[in-house]
Amino acid sequence: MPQKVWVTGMGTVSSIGLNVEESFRSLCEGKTGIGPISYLDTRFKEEYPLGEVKLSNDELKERAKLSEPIVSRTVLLGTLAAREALSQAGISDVQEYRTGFISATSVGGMDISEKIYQGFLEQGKLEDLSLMGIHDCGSTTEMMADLLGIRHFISTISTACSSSANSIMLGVRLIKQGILERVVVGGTDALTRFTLNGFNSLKIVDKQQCQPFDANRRGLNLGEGAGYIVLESEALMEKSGKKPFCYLSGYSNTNDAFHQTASSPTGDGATRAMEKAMALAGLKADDIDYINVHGTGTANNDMSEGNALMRIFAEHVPTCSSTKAFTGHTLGAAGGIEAVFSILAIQNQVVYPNLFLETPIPEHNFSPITKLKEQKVEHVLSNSLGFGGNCSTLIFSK
Amino acid sequence: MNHNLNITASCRIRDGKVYLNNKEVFNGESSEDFPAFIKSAYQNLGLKYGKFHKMDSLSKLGFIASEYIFSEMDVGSLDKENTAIVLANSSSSLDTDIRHHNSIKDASNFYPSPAVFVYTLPNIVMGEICIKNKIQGENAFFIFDEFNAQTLIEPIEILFEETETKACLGGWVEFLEGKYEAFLFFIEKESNKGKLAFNVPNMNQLYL
Amino acid sequence: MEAFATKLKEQIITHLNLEDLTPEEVGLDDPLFGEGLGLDSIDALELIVFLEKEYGIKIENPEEGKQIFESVNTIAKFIQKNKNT
Repeated sequence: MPQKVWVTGMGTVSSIGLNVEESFRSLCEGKTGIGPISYLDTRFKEEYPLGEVKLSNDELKERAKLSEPIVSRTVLLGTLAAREALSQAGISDVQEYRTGFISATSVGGMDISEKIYQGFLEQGKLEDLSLMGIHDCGSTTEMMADLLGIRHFISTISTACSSSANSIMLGVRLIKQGILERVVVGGTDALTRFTLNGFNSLKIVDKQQCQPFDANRRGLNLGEGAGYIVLESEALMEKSGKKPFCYLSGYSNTNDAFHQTASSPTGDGATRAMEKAMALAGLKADDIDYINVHGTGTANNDMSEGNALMRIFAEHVPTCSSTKAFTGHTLGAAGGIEAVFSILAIQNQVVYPNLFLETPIPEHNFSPITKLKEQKVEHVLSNSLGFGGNCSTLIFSK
Repeated sequence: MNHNLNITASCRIRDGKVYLNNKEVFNGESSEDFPAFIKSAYQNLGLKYGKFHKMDSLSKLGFIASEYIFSEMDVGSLDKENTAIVLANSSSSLDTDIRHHNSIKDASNFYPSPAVFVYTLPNIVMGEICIKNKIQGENAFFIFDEFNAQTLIEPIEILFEETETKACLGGWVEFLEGKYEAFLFFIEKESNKGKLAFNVPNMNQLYL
Repeated sequence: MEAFATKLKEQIITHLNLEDLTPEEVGLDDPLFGEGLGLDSIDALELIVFLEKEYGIKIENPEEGKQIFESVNTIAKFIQKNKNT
């Protein structure tokens, strides 16, 4: 019997809350974090709503008690969330056991590079972004690890929008193999002009509040934030006598092998990711109580993901919802933030509304729930589907 | 861990040369720059794959290295659902990130290109290899300071240990501002081919 | 018109990196998407950028692109029409 890997702490920062408690309140009250742009300096200020964390970099720095002059917003958001996760897990001395930190990001320190680059331009000087050590995806992870004091094992994963889910997956495996005893896993991504302009060029950004899984959906809203959870080995749990939140029963990653950005119409990659994760967890279709879908609000994702759900669950797609109408799509952080939401659903036996859903997609035989619902939640399945065909499924169990 | 894992093929691309299983198979040193070199390698492989020309440099590099590895293999017989890809580098997709950034930095010449933006993620190179060969197994992309055999071996060993994975394309693919290096290897479980054990000394030997 | 369409064809081949193709291989009425040249959704978006950059013509809704981008000739007609107005 393989050992279970337990979740003992979690932390999150996003547009709907600066910590787990605030986020849960917003989820229950149906309060979206998406609104007009107030922090990102962009030409699209009047055009697009975003899911911004409602603090400036200086305010975040103060909150994180950091004095460094230049810190990427990605690091600030990540540090706040990872610290909350460690504190929830009651870990004060990270050196005590073999502790790792696996962080996902898609933009890294791009926000800082952008600002500095702009400065150089205004002074008529051209410098390569590559000269700025702070840009690398890896360096943001290292800075956070330093701030957390974690030195035993540090790794950065970058697989687009499924990055965080993949960092959680790697963490579970490292514990199962006895390489680590506990690990902080998840991801962080700050909003940047870089991503907004990029997604805008793909013409998949909604100019209004997004409506995932609605027949008339127009695209996604971008968001930012961080989400981390603490995983611990069975042996460590026995030693400490801690009461865990839940455990990671299933996980899987597959490639859709269809297109760089678009999901296959039949959702092949997502179907196999869900199937394999359920097989690993030893769960049947009707064991799943709630699905936190990827549900970005783009025509392509929601159609494809819904088709994948119907392939697995046929006429009985479980209660499901996308929480991206709350937070926007937080890219590399999405899997971490949604892991926290999934665990909260188990803790509180409640599932969240899919906000702003009015008209179900006619091709689907199911539709996400639109009101907060108290129900039995033992097994939650969470999907993260990314560019490059990268499909991940995690299953959290009580 | 004892999985009986073997390196059944490897490809190194460096300084205008391609080495397959430690033997030089293509010399494109006369090419002026990376675009010319990698195109000549594409021609050397006799490929007819229009999508290649649309890829960014990182994807072209990884793609060509994978095609050399697959050139001596019956790709059709692979268990596609259980073939994984695990890659790493140090600069992520920075080279293309800079190109995208340059297209949006100037308000009077503001034409962000969707065809550039899609490559601003390092895992797209794995997507390209998967699309071409219909590989559907697990994918992971790591960012490390430098090539280190042990940090690549660990996640791949775990993959074989924990999942149904039968084969894995792994390696290092780095591209930044014209400087490039690819070192890809193919790992199979209990294969009779080659019989070169998947371990640090062998990896370092092949990487040298 | 035909001279313009031929020039346009070469521009498109360059802009979309269709390097394996020579201009002679692409007929002015050949379908660009699907069975034809096999262009995909990213190419369609890239053609929108191309029209704006080279000809100052904006297409707001990518859906409109579908009819405009049927073939080199349909794009040529669209450019001629929109440049004059």
